[in-house]
Amino acid sequence: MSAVATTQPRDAGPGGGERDVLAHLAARQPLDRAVALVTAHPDDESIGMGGVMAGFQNLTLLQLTDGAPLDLAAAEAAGFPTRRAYAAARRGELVDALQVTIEGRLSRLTCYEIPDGSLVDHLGVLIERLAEDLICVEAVFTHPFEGGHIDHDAAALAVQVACARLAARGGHAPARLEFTSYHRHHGLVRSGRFRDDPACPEIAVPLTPEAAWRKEAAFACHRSQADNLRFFGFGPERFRRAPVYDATRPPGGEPMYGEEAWRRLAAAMTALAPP
Amino acid sequence: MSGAPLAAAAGRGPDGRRGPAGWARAGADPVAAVKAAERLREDGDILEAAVILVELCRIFPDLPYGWREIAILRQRAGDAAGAARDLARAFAADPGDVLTLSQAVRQLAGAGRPDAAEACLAGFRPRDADDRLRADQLGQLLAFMRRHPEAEARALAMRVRTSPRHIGVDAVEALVAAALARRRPLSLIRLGDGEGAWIGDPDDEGGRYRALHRRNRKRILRTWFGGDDLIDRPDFLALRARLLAAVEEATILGVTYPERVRHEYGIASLAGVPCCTNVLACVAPLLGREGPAFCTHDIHLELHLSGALHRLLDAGAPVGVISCHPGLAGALARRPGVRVGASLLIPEEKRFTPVIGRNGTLAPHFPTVFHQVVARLREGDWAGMLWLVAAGYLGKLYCHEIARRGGVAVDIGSVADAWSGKATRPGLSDLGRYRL
Repeated sequence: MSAVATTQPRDAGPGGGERDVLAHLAARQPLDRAVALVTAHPDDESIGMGGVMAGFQNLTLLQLTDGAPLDLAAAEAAGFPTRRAYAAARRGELVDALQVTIEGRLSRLTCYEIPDGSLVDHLGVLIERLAEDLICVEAVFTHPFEGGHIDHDAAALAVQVACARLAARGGHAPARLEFTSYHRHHGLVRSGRFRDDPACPEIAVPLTPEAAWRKEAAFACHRSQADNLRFFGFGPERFRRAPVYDATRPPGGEPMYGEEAWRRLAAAMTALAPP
Repeated sequence: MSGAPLAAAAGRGPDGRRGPAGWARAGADPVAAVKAAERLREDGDILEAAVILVELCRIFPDLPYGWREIAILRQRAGDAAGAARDLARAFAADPGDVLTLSQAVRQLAGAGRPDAAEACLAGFRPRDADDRLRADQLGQLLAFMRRHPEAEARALAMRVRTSPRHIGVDAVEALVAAALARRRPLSLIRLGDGEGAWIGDPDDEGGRYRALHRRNRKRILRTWFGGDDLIDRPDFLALRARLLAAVEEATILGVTYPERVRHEYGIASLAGVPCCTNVLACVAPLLGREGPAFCTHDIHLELHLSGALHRLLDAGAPVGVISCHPGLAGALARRPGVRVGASLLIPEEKRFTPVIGRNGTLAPHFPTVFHQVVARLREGDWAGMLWLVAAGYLGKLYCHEIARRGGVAVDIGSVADAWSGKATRPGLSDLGRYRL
């Protein structure tokens, strides 16, 4: 086996890394691979993977935003006098939630501290930094590109580009996978599911009573987000291999964050240098 | 204590420039003044340090610290007699000061006067258990230096240097390049003070130097991990056997050299003397039979400064990285022609966290990350791959694992820090010379 081949996941071959990770999740087996979880906001980790996270033995969390929008009104609405205070509170909530979901066994926590809602304005730097961090892991989970939240979509595309850049440099790139967030479906907000795509098979991992308890307890830790988290349930957590997205086309219908914001995201992606 | 009086004591304003208050402020806070003088001494500003200390001793002749620090300056300037006089005044000011004792004993021992050093130690009356332990450690250092005199250690270091298997940076580069080209395993590991502390066994030689060895082990554990909890932990102690195997099976060993031995014995370093000696005693048996090549333990710096590391990187072999710098693998990958095949992130050495910054790793290097890294290394066949390893003591074991799986592992140590713009060692202060 060549040296580079050895850096591929254990189940070598196209998609082997993703298959192997998904198989572990489906079987609820502990996973000792170096895995990164890239989330847009503090609480996305609990929403997408709060039930299964305890099975990860070597998990890095790359938290992209600080959870506090630039608009002070968001902080004030949550009961905080400043944006910094709101961001600090959300960081604290995240740390508390991780104590529940993974019992503090996180290998690495890196917070990029970009303001909530602003990933689209920092895509260039974000992708370079992701490339630096993702070179150290074997697999990465992030949001799907689904038109739910602009930061989720920016995260999905940024991870895709970062991995493509690593691959284009001829070196190691991690297997790319997704957890669920939320999107609009037949006019309603749907959470805990991917957009229907027969080309992207998914696995559903029903939560054991203990996993459901962990997830519920983690939700409770995200105190400032209690109103939003009411919309997320404790059904099966779903995962899939990430498809290759076309950043120039909206992901099915008008995104929930609006046409104008979508155009900004598409323009920012188009402006990026090719891998 | 605020920074202002300290800076003023050093004759500098808060911005680091010379301030109008000058050294006369030393009288305001003698402890701050000593610390300021120590900092100046470490920065090489001996005269400025001396100005503060002389003033301090004038104002507070009954405090030992000023005399002790002046003695250090005199010793460094080669004035052993003057240093002895100042130490005598420090003792007169406080006969029970263990730091003065340590300085006096070490200066006498370093000057080749072991009898005088022992007499000085014998006259000391410890005030508490800590003092007693310090005195024990000093006594064991003196005994160790008698049992393993400088001449013996230097002779061993000279045997290594004059061995036909001792090679320079060009030959090291050639060996690494050849191993990559032929897809043969190679492990270059460097043995410094940390390894020296763990190569030796506190129970060696009947445990006569146990307090000294344990002091050095604890000290290096705090450097690596931020605490010394691992000192008696069986699974960590078991790594010693793996280190000895790594040494035995290495392709190239970086070891200490006669000048370094002279330096450590000259200052009677509690860490440097036994650690150098332990390393030399460990490699000495390898000289008499077929075994590894040897080079200096500073070979990593030479490999960078000679351009060898860049040439090896540019040769086209895939590169693996083990370091605490999250951006290093990415920076390497951005170099044209460099293909990073794997990167394993480890926690930073805790002593250097203020310089390096936290890299976000939460799990401890040992045992958690160590076992994760070893597990990943054992998954692969690394033939033809160049691994750059910067991971301290545990890094030597990573090099061994890589070579056992066909790879080429080069222990680049603090060069990784310098490439990442972090000057963690005095020799790296000119970072401009260490660009990736």
